[in-house]
This record gives sequence, structure tokens and C-alpha cells, in this order.
Amino acid sequence: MKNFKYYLDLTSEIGFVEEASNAIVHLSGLPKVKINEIVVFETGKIGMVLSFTSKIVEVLVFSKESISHGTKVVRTNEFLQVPVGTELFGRVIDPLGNPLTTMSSYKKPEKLRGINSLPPGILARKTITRQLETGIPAVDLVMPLGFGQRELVIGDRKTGKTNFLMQTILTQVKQKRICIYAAIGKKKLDIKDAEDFFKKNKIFDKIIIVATGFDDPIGLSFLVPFSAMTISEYFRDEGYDVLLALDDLTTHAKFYREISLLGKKFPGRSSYPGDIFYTHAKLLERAGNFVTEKGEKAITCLPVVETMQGDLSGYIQTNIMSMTDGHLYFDSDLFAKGRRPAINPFLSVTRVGKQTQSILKRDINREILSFLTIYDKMQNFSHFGAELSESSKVTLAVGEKVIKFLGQGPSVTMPINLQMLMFSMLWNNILQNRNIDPIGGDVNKIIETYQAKSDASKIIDQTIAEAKTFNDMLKTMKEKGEMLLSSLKS
Amino acid sequence: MKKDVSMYFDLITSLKTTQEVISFVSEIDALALAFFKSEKTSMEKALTSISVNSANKIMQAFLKNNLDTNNRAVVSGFFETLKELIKKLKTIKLVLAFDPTNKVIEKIHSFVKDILGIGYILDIEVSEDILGGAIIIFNGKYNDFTLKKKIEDTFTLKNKDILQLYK
Repeated sequence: MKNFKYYLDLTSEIGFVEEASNAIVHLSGLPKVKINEIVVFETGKIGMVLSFTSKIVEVLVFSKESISHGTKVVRTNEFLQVPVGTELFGRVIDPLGNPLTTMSSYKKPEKLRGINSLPPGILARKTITRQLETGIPAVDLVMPLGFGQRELVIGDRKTGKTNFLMQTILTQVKQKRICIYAAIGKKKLDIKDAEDFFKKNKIFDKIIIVATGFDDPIGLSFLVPFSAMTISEYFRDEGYDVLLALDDLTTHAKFYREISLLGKKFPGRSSYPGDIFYTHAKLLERAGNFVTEKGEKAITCLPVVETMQGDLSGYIQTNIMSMTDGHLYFDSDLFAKGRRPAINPFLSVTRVGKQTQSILKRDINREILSFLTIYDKMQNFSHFGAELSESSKVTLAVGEKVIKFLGQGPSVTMPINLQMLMFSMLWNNILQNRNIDPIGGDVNKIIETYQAKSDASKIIDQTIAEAKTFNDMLKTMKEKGEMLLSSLKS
Repeated sequence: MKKDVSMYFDLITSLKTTQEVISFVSEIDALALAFFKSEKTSMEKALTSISVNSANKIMQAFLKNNLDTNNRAVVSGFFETLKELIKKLKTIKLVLAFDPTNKVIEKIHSFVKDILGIGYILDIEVSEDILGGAIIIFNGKYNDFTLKKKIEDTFTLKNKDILQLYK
């Protein structure tokens, strides 16, 4: 970006600050200004034009310091662009590409990409057919996601939403996918925690964090998801599948509400501006499964939305539910009961995930869901204190095992084939009335062995590939389940 | 109802710069305060609270348009409309290298009046940095006709030729 004088000579237009209120500044002058155009103040700060009338130009400023009345402003004839490129890997940046933390040898990428591009049309899109692995059985087996799906992650605060994102990113990075984590107006400590998680799992140099703190200028926080999406689009066009986590859009909506109220826009429901739906829809429509010059490439988007006391019917919550292809509901009651991840399968939806599954996966999915429904009913029934029949007691006991199987530690991710193998073993043991816990306590060791021993993993992958249905799988487990398990435990 | 603004013509055209406008508006406020303080205060007495020059101009406007200075509603309406019209004046910002005399300001203002008509005032800023000429800012358009700019442009365009002279 050039300086004030350069743009003044270039455009021969000038404006003056007439009114300044936090992030919004009203200017006079600049007769040929355009929407979304960048303006430069004589103090060197920059802003973006939000709207204008014949007399006043409304500008969103990207700096925290106040701007005084009468300050000169020039327009640039340029639109907001973000630096994009591989230089961003392993960096924590603000939406304009500036480093958030002190980073040695960081050079801003030279390539720039416009932040406000239009979502691709229907002809550029393709049906979602590939499953996205999260490494979490409660999602991969019960609520599967596909590449290019926009799945809302919704729930009360402190129910493990961010942790789910971290685990998904961890799994995807291991599969050589590009992952971008957008932290919108988060606490500096939370951003540091995310950074530490990635560093601890040795994947920090393979991901990009676009973030703003809660005390950063609201103009910048507003830009975070758009900037992260622009970077995602760049990598998609470069021929990569991208996973984008937007944490979270409720905070983003609140920032946009603040900007709109300062800009004297008429407040609508819950004081949000009328175009809040448009703003988020415009953003989420940019994700999907696309036909590109480099083949079928996807931007999978996981927007996070926070609920208040489990209320799913809030304005922003329902808005984003209607824009996405399903939602994973993180239940605070389940979280309090110790379920990790606390995903409620009965209140969660995946609209396109199931179409990506093979027959075997679909069978397992059906089996788990129908069993969980019975188990849930049985649990409710047991609350009455009635004397339970023998079959009910068995269902409850098996249910506990299934719930335990679906439970997972915060930084554990399980490959999907291993998930299927484990579940099949568990189910086989249950059917044969064996009271054995097939997995045992040492899940981590099994996962490690699977990942480290290529011969063991090859056999398991082959077994899974050969089984067409869940019945085939159970037969195989009956025959060589013990052998497969012991090869992993050794 | 459409207001007859012609009665304000002389008062408005007498204002040439933003400084004059600011002081005139504050004088109107002072006059209104003095006049409406008590019902017994006459216009003649209230006019003593402002400068003689402004007092004469306002009195002349009243007399010329046969306005009853004892009718408080008429006087109040006159002041309100006058302030509204002053707010509508458009500003032409001029950056000059010297402090202009009243004669120069008058000359520039009459030139503006000839070209654009009435309803324009000058906002003059003095900046010796520009060396000579002027910067004109009007309606958001920025025009730099300064000597500084000319010299800078010449140095940029004929940099090689100039350096050649000193070899």
C-alpha cells in the first residue's frame, strides 16, 4: 500500500473527517468513491468504504486509535486484498496479513487476492462424494461429514466445540490437507492455547491461523472470516482441499451489529442489522465442493456458533443453521455427564455426509443410531425407578460400552478404518455375549501401532475393503478379530 | 410555505470566508440572546451587544424589507432562516503561501462569485511549504497549482537533465 500523497496525486480527490465514532468514520468529499474501496487517512491509517450518500461517506477503520475531526482522507481506487501464499504456513496473522505475534523471518506474501469475491455459481460446483475424516468416531461413524460440506458446530460455551475443531484439523493436516483456523475476537490466551495445541502435535508449521483478539479494532475482527475464506480460495485454486474453521460467527455477528449501530443502520431483531443474513450467507456460500482447473477441490467450512443455555432457536443460530448443510450439537448436559465429545446425535444433522459413505459405513451408522435411540429410551425409562427386565439391563450395559467407545480424549484422533474395526469387534463381542472390552484402556497404543506399523494397518485396511456389509465385517471379526487386535496390541 | 430568501441576499453575499461566517453566526446568537432575554428589550438596544458593522448590516436588512422589529415572532423567524441559509453555504478551501489581505480575499471572492454565483465562502489556510501558487479543494476535488508541486514534477521528469548540469 502506497502513502497518502501518492493516492492524492493519483485520484486528485480529498475528503475530510466530519464525525468519528469508534470504528466508523463519516467523511465529506471524495465524490467518486466506490463501495468497499480502500481509503487512506493522512495519519497513515486505512479504512474501507461501507456506504455513501451524496453528502457523506461511511468508512470502517482498521485501527484502534481515534481519528480526529478534519483529518484528510484520500481514496485509492483499490479494493481490500489479502496477502496469500505458502509463506503463511505456521503463522498467526491478522486479516490483513500482518503478524499477530513476533515471528522471526516472516515476510508478507507478495501475491494478493481480493477479499470480497462472489461465491461461484452452480455450474462450478459438484456433488459431495468424498468423506472428510475428523478422527472422532462420534462424528465419522454417527454424523459423517463430506469434503465441501458446511457443517455448523453449535453449542453452549465450554462444551468442547473448539476442541473438536482442533482434533479435526489435526486429522486433516496428517492427511496433507490445508487447514485454516480463524479465531474471531478471541481472548489472546485462547489464541495462544490453539497455537500451543498445534505446536504440541507438531503441525503448527502446516496450518494458518487468522485471528484477532477481543480488544483489537472491530473493523479487523469483522474481516477475519472473509480473509480466512480468501486464503482458502487461493489454496483451492492451487489444487488443494481446504478445511476452514470459523471460530465463532456469533462473535462476528456481534461485531457487525456494533459496526451497524455505530453507522446508524436501522436495528432489526435483537438489534442486528437487516443484512446480517446476507453477510453470513455471502461468506458461507464461498465454501463447497468445486470443479476447478486442477480437478475436484473442496473448501470444507466448519463455522462455530454459541448458544445460550442450549437455546437453538436464537436469531443468529437459526440463520446459520439455514445456510449450512447440517449441524453438530454440543450438549452441555452430556458434557456435564462426562461425555467427550459431547455431541448429541439426536439433535445433530448431517445433510450431505451420509451420501459419502460406503455400504459398510452406512450399515455401521444405521446400527449405532438405532441402538443409541433404544438406549436413550431405555435410559429415560430407567429414571422412573421401575424394575428393569433382563433385556433392558443388557441394553443399558451394552449402551454404556458403545458410549465409552464413542468417547475420546482431547488430542486423540482415530483413523476411520480403525474406528470401524473397533466398533465391529465391540459389536461382535456383544453379539457373542462375551463380556470382554475389546479395546481395553490403551486406545492410544492401538492408534500408535496402527499408524506406525504399516503391515498391521495394511491388513486392517484390506479387511475393511473386502467387507461389503456390516454382516461381512462381523463374520470376519468372528474369524480373525482376536488376531487383528493382538497384532495392534503387540 | 416557500420562504422568501431574497431579503437575506445582502447579508449572505457580505460573507466571504469561514472565519467571517463563524464570527457572524456567534454575533447572531449573541443578538438573539440579548433581544429575547426580556420582552421589554428593543432591537436597537440589543444591537449594541454586537459589532457596529454587523449591527448596521442586520438593521439595514430589517429596514429594507419592512420587517417589524417589535414583532418577536418575525425577528425569531428571520434569525432562524438566516442561520439555515448560512449552513447551506458551500466552502472552497484554498491553501496559499502567504497571508492574504482583505483586498486579496475580496478579489478572489468576487472572482468566485462571477464564475459560480453566490453561496460560496472561502476557507483559507496559509502554508509556506507550498512556496507559491495555491491548492484548491472544492466538492472533494483536489487541485494542486503550487510552485512546490511544479518543482517536484520537474525534478521527477527531468531528473537526468538536471543532474547532467552539475556534472
